[in-house]
Amino acid sequence: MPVDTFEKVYLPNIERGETETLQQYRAQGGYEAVRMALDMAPGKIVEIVKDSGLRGRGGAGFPAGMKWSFLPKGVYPRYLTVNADESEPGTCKDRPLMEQRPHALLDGIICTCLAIESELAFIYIRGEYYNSADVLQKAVDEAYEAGLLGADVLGSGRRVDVVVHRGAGAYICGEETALLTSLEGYRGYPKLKPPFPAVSGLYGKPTIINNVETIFSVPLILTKGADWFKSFTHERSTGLRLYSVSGHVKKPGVYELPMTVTLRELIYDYCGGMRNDHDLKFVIPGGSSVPWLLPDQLDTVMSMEGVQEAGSFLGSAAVMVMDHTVCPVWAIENLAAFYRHESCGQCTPCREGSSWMHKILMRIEHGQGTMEDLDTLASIAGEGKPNTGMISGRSICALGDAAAWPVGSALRCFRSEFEEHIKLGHCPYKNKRFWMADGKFVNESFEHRPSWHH
Amino acid sequence: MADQSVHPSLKPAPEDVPFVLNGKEVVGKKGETIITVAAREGVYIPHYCWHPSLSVAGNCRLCLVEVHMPNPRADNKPTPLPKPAIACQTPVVPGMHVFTESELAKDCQSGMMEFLLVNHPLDCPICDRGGECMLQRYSMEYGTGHARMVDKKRKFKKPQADPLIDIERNRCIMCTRCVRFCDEVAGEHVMGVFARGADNYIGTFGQGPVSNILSGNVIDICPVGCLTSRPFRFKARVWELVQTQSTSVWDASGAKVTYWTRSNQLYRTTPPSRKYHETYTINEDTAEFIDNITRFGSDFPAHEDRWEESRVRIGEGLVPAAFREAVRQAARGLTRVREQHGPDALAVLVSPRATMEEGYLAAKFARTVIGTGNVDWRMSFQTAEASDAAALAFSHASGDLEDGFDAVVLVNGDYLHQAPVFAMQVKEYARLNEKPLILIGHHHDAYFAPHASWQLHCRPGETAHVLELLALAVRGNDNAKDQLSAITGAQAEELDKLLQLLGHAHRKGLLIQSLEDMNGANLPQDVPALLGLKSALGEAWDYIPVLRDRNAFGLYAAGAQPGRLPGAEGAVRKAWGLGESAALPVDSGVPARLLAEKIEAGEIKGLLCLGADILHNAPERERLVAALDKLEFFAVTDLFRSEITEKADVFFAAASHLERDGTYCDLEGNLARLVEALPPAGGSRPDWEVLAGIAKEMDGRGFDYSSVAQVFDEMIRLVAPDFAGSFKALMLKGPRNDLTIKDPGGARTRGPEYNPGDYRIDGAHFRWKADPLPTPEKASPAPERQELNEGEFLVTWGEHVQGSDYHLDRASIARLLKMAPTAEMNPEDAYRLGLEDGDRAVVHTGSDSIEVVVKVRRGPAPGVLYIPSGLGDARFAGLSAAPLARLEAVEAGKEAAPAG
Repeated sequence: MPVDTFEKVYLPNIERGETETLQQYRAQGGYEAVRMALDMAPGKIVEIVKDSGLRGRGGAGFPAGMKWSFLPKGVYPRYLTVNADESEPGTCKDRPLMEQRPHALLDGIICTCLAIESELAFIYIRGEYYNSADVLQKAVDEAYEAGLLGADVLGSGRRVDVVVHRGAGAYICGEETALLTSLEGYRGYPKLKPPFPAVSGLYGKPTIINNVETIFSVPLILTKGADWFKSFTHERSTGLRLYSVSGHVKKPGVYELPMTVTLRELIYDYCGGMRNDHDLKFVIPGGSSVPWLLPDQLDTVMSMEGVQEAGSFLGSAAVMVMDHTVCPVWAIENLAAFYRHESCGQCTPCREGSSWMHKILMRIEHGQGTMEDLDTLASIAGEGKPNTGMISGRSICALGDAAAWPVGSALRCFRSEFEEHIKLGHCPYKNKRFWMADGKFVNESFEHRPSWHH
Repeated sequence: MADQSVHPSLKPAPEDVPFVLNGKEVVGKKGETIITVAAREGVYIPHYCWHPSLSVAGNCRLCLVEVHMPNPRADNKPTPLPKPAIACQTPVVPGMHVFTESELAKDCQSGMMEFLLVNHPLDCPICDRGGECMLQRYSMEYGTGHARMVDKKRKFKKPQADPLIDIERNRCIMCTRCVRFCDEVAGEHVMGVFARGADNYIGTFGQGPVSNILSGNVIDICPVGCLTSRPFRFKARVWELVQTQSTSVWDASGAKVTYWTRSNQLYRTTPPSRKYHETYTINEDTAEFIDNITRFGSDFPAHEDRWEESRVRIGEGLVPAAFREAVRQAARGLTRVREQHGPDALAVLVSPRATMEEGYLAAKFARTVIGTGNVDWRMSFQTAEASDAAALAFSHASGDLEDGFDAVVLVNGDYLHQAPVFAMQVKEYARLNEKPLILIGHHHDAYFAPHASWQLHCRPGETAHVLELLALAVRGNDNAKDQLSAITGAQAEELDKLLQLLGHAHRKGLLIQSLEDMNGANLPQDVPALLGLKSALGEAWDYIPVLRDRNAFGLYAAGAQPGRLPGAEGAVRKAWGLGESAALPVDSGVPARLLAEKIEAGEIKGLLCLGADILHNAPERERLVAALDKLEFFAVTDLFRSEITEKADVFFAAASHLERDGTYCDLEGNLARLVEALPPAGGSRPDWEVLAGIAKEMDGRGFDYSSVAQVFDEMIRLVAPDFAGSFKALMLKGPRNDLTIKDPGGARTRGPEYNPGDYRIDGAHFRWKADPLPTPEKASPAPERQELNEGEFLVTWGEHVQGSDYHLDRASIARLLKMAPTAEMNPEDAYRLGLEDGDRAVVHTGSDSIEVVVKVRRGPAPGVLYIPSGLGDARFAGLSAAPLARLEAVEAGKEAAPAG
């Protein structure tokens, strides 16, 4: 484990238990940012955040300050919506933030509301995160009592209200416009863009939607300064980042690191290397939606630009590491099943494409594929790059891309293994045995496969 | 963000946007989308979900096109967008280049077609949509021609949701046109998308029916075979059917229709077909919607009750007779009555769905051959005063929807069920063009209410008072404004805004009033009050009275009512061959409304009734039927045997609306032609032949017609001066594309069999010449308000277009559609009574009671209960039409309290 030369600010090394109370947060210097923000002109806060180079932490990486400045002048009310619908497979960074430091999130919400002149913020929280929702609601109640929220924030005469709204278990509602339709009480369908939410969003009013981690960063930037934030910089990626590492590493978890870290350092230094010292097979670097990386790309810098250079996306910085026990065809079949299940069904390419791809992958994985299937699959999914194939770039929202990219990249990376499935008539991993830590030889990943079969 | 300081209807016209479409320079308007401009420029972009009448969904992705945008960083050089853009949503931008046939666009189109067929069952051989399916069409034009999908296809269970519309989900492509149609055009949120991903499907909430009167249109706008017509199911292949372009005989809006026939049988009725690739087919992008009555009601002539032979009375029974014999008998009977009791003991009744030619001949027959003014079609009015008020309304009618409007005022009425397509056109024009809708009265059409800019509610009987106050307020009387505010509960500043809007003199406004006498005797006050408001508002405002009778205006124009001649008296005398001194009874006629009374009093002894439906649907039906026994002579034309035809001395088998030619006039003054789609069944004859025959038999002169065309010819010369500025147009010879559609082969479709002088009759609008009514100096005193106890309501009784023609009881719509009776109330009342939309309740009037489903709508005023009639079995035979009713909620799961 390397020694960190920086102070952890998102998830400082604090004992669990008492971290979520207002008192505790105040002891850590909490809500100082709100006081500072109240003394500043809204435009000034936006300037500072713009200067810091803070980019959205939900996946797309859009500069937060720039998004805020898209709000049309003089149109009120404006809404802030915090996207806490963390459902991207592999991503688990917002949950500890909300559960351990809910007041820090509220701190950020108040600062952001002051910056964008909004009086009402919604936290759209993933339905399954009932614990986090409880903790958040408690924190909101506490903040109201302490006069931090409500009609008169800290006696300044400014109003900020916060509503915690629980989703109902749809991945698509993490897409910002689907989140808005869901919040409005409709079926969670993504909207056509333009108009973008900043112009016409929730209830047709200008709305800013930011990820939990993005909002969390705002008070840090205000108190520690944009220059501090910029001191961790790789190209245009600034600040510390929470990496959710999962898969076949020795120590999976959420790691708070500057974006100059390489994939190799992340896996072998911070996460202690591969389990059982197995060989690395492939890495999904930014949540399940992005193209895969191969072992020869281990020196990729885990910043937005670095990963993009390697042909993938940093996305939500959820790094999923797979060792050589994993059948890539099974893995991609599993992911395709997820997208088939979560496609909202609104537009043709995503609805039909995600289900068709999964049907083909199921057949290949079970040994009933044909070589023509691979060509069909490649033509549907493309090359694992944006705007290739029959889905990517042609759907209403990014879920279509998210469904197609991994399939395309899996096919590009492991075409020989797909062909092996077809030639053998079954999955070659079926009869393989791998050495495990307890000294046994087992085929763990084959025997504990989750079932997506509908 | 829209500029909210200016009302949308006052905004300047949008500016021009020049751009390049497939290499050709074109000009669009700011705010227009690529697909609209392309369509105008003759470039067809394939689409499923986009429909000109519906909001943009952008979900089929078939209209993806390649777009190059001018790049300000590179000297405005057009640069390809990273992704293809959907033409239905992307607005045109100056300097953009759009490619609809590039490699990328073609790749997108073929890709989407392949996706859409992945789960489609490809059951074209058994699909009713085969032959006119957009999926088939686009597969040929944009598809790849082969299928790569080898996996099992998705399958759904078949729902039994709607009795008229069949839902076959496996064929659905999820374009959501039907959902949006119901939400936006039909105004009822009854359809939705369920489940998600590839497993999603369309359906109705709670598996209920799509109850709206416009719902049948989802069949036409469905681009695939998911929604099909149940009565038409598996009956025929569309390419085997002969199409006849005709018009609806129920919808007074003048909706045009296509009758699809084969082997002397009607198979289906749709909106007008259009040309597509050298053949005529239904138009999925049509905005010419028709109502369900026309769509599912036109098939009754094939009913087994039909009498296809004329009959004469011999002793107790009616026996089949030759047409000539029946004509002789009728002439003899009429002559006998005239000789014994004088001409005024005879009356001629004309069905409100008779053609103008028939009405004209009836008027001519009654006035010249018999010599009486007793000719009328107006049976449905509650009182004779109400029919006089209607005549007053007609004489002031003007205006049409063709040129649009800047504001519209609707007074009382269930327009959606009285003139469905007209109501839809008004609402859609207002909704799509953001024009203000103003509703006034005790019952507003719930169809308009959600889109209304102002709603001035009052109690029944107060409408005239409110209209008078409004007229005074428009004239600047502040006292009237305060009174108006007090009586309608509208806030003063809202009224100020309304008055400011009405005061814009340059506006083209429409005043629309329902003449269906839904609540007793208010018409005689309401009509003059609204005409007074019209004078206060000025010349720019037009007035359209609405009646559910299809040809009310045509028959009025043709002079088929007391007090009205088909034209100027001199011209009529000349045309009818009457000298200066010959008798021409005009004003002396007995209104049809008083017929039962006059027969009972022995003043009317003989009756010739053209179309028994007028008697069947009379308000006092029992009394009238009983009175028929007292007649010395009774001749009737109709399709079916019924208790009325059983009483006839002579029965003429009538040709149905499918079997004759003629002309109709709609409530905007447009003429439309009814075209013979089938030959008359058996020995049935059109009514004009019956009239002409009897007239000749009675030695009447000027009845030597050999076709309807000659009648039309004679009539239109007299009637035409009443059609504003269109007399010339009427006489113009030219192509009549709206009426005749000729297939290149000439075999598939047919126009009228006769050739009525090639009149161009489209766009003929009437403007009767009546002097404007002055605005009264002060309003009439406000009627006293009745105190209502808890659960008590003032009732407004609905009149539904279906209730105006008993023939419809034998059509498939009546056979298939069984709907629970409903009662509509204001949310305010519902909240007080603890009722919600869809709850059950019992309505008591006097000693009668009936269970209804409560609809909570913003239509009825607080304290008013609206009970519509006419859909399915919802006619309230058992409920007496009292003005006051008591309502009791029924608890869920419990049976209703026993009657009484």
